[in-house]
Amino acid sequence: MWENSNVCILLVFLLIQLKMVQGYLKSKLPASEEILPVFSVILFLVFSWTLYRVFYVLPAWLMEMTAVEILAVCAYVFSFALLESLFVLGGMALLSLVLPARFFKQKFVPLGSLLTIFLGAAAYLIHPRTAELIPFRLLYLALIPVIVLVGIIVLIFLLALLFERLPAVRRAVTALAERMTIFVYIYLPLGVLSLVVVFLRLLFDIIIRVFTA
Amino acid sequence: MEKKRLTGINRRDFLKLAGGFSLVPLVEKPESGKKWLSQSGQSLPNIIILVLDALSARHLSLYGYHRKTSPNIDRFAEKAAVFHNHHSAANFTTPSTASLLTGKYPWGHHAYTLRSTISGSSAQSNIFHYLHEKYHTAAFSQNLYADKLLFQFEQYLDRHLPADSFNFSGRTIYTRLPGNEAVAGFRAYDQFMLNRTPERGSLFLSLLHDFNYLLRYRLAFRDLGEMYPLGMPSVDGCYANFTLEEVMDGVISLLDGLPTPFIAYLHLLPPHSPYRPSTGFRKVFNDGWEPPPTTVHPLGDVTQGDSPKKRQLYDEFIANLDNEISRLLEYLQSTGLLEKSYFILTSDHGELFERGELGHSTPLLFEPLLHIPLVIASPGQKRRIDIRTPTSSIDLFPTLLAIAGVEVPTPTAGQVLPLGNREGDHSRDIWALEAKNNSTFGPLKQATLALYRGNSKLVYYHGYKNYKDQFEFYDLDIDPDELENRYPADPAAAEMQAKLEAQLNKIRHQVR
Repeated sequence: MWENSNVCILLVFLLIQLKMVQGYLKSKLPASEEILPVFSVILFLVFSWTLYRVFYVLPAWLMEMTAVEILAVCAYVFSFALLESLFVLGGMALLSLVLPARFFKQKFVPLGSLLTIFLGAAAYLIHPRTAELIPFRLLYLALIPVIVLVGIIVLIFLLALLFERLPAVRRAVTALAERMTIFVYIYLPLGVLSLVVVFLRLLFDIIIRVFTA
Repeated sequence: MEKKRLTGINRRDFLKLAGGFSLVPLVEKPESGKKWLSQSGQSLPNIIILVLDALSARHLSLYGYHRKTSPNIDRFAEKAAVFHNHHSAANFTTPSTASLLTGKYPWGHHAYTLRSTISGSSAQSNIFHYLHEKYHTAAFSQNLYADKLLFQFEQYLDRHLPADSFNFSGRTIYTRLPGNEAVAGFRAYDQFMLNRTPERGSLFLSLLHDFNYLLRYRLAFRDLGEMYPLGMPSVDGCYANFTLEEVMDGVISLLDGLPTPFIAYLHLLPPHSPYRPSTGFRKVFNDGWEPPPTTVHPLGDVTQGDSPKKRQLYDEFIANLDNEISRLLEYLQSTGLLEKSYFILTSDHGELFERGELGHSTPLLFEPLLHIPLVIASPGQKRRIDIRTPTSSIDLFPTLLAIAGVEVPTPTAGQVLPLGNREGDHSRDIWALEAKNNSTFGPLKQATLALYRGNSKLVYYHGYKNYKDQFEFYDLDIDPDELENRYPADPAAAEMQAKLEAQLNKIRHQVR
């Protein structure tokens, strides 16, 4: 336990010391006003998909679980969806750090939104077919993330060029993303509430186990 | 005196630091709240229950199957009690395992569907609850649906190994959650968000999860590909692979460390599908044999594939498993554990390869699905006893309580098994129920109910659209393959029908 506390202290200390890189990050990352629309699109895709699947299996769940049990499962499900959304947003932030500002950061809202939509569509199409990868040789499997990353970067460059050639498309996508910020006010509270429920349930369980030891 | 501030740390930073401290308890996995039982009362025998998922007695050479699928179990049975007329209470894992662990027929515990849990009051009445005071209790299930039930008994388990303990690749998420949350976690993550179907709940991370699995699988398969030409054994429907050798090594190591007296419930997945025997057992039964032809049952699935090939693979998988069981038996013998333990080998349900069924997913209740093995070696037993009294998987519950000297709660549907020279009740009624499409909470609207009396078997298909309220009657003495439906001609059918209908009326409205 003592070793774990040392690790925690070290991590927090390092985070504090990383203040010096905070300035650098601020210059590379988009502003919060730009992150919000992109996050809205991510939330919309992730949560809408999850909700669609929940309603799809709900008749089966109603046969097997009580209402309280279903709500508990939903809390776990939507907290996962929130973390998934943050993960995707983190991926966008990473791209913003890595790619030249002209190609990504300066067009973050339209690019991030359209990229999210493309990735969501690709994920939907790939879902039924992942088992086809099982016979793939190890080398080909290992190449897949490289191919995906290169594909994303190429797509970003192509979209950046498209937005430069056709500003109307850029404006349209930006307008769509901005209108989707409404979903932040719906899905984000749902995700946060679910996270709080999960946290409290786990905490309660741990407390019970400690006191009944 | 001038106060010196800590260099580089303001109030905000200090609060962040303090927040880091609060994370410490969460970094620690909470220790199990239970204290180990101190060694006491060695006069009590240990109890080892080995459940082999989807193992049908009809496919064991021990029970007269013409393919030599279980030579090691056959040898072991020479010093054990072999129950020839033992039946499961249901035809798939959740209700059959629930019946085994609670001693109740499915209408008693209401775990009708695959993802059901046992109803609250019944969940308290489980073998671990009653034996917990006298035994160190340990449980391990490779089958995730059976493992989910074990989480309902968590407070009575001194040791509950995660289902993926001996997996070569593929980890579950729910087993990382503390006890009561594990069932919710199982349903949310392993069954819904990340499960191996296109309809799963996670859009992006599930793909990463798939990729992670595929990479690990290929890495493992690099070394083991030759040993498993059909692919490595896996947990059906999710990304997890294992080898039979490692699972058995794990089981042996678990037993090795248990304080005595202990009760160990070990639920292994093989020979459940996918049937993937290792190279040494592939094509050992390539004899072209087929059972007597049968027609597709109205409730069977006509789209089911090649049954002779599946049957052969299943038999080969059993032979592979039997080989590994010999190592377990060798360990128990060499360490002297077998002399001090009851060793119970059984199954939760069987498997069927005919009449439009390849596995156990339809509402059918033919004998290959319900007739399961039961072999019990008592401490120091030196000769074989063959018991032909009709018995049910619900009988294990009162039997284990009797072994431990614990009073059997009343009422209980099961009876103490006729071990030793005790004579059993040949006229007893044995039941089985299949209701996988019925709500766990509502009345029984769609179910298959089977009644055994002696060698007679009456089956009632209730509420199915394509086969509405039909009876089937078989005389298992003269027609063990159930080829001739003798309903309503056989005079015994009418009496059994009255009993079955009365029972159905009684249980139909018993809701959870």
